[in-house]
Amino acid sequence: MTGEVLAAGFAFAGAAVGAALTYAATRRDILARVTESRQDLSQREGQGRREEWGRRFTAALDDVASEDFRRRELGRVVLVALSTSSLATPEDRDLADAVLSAGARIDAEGDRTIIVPAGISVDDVVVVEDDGDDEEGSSR
Amino acid sequence: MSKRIVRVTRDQVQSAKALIELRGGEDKVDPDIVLIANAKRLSPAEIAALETA
Repeated sequence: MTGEVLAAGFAFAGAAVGAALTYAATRRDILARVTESRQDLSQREGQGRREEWGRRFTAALDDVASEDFRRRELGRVVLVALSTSSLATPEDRDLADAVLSAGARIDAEGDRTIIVPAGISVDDVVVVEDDGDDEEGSSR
Repeated sequence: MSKRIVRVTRDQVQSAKALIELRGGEDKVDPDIVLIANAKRLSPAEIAALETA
């Protein structure tokens, strides 16, 4: 009789331990899947943001090359904003830097503007904004 | 002695300003870029006067 009670007790305890272990394993598995799912979602959101950033960056580069001054100016503003965003890579920033640098140094005819030639003091140079008769360029 | 007048377009000025903003200040760009960004807006008469001064 005592043996049967002990056997039943052991069986019950074993079943309880087994159930507890199964519960713990299942819980751990579910938590791992939830974490993985969240990471996957976060990664996809990050990729989506970067793709959208890339579309805007490309559009800004197109705008900088536009025939319309207002679009060019807005393109430059967007280019700077995007290039200083956390989504921009160093290569993106270098590209924007190169585009703006060329835009500053190259005149309307495509020639490189020499501001201070060798042998001339900066004090003897006056840089003036001059778009000739271009109404678009002279309006603020 | 007359001044050397360097004419730049408004696009050059705005590009220079944008480049300064991108780099984070006038001290981060070449002096030429700062000069372009701060180009004076003068009337043709004022420019002519500078050229003959």
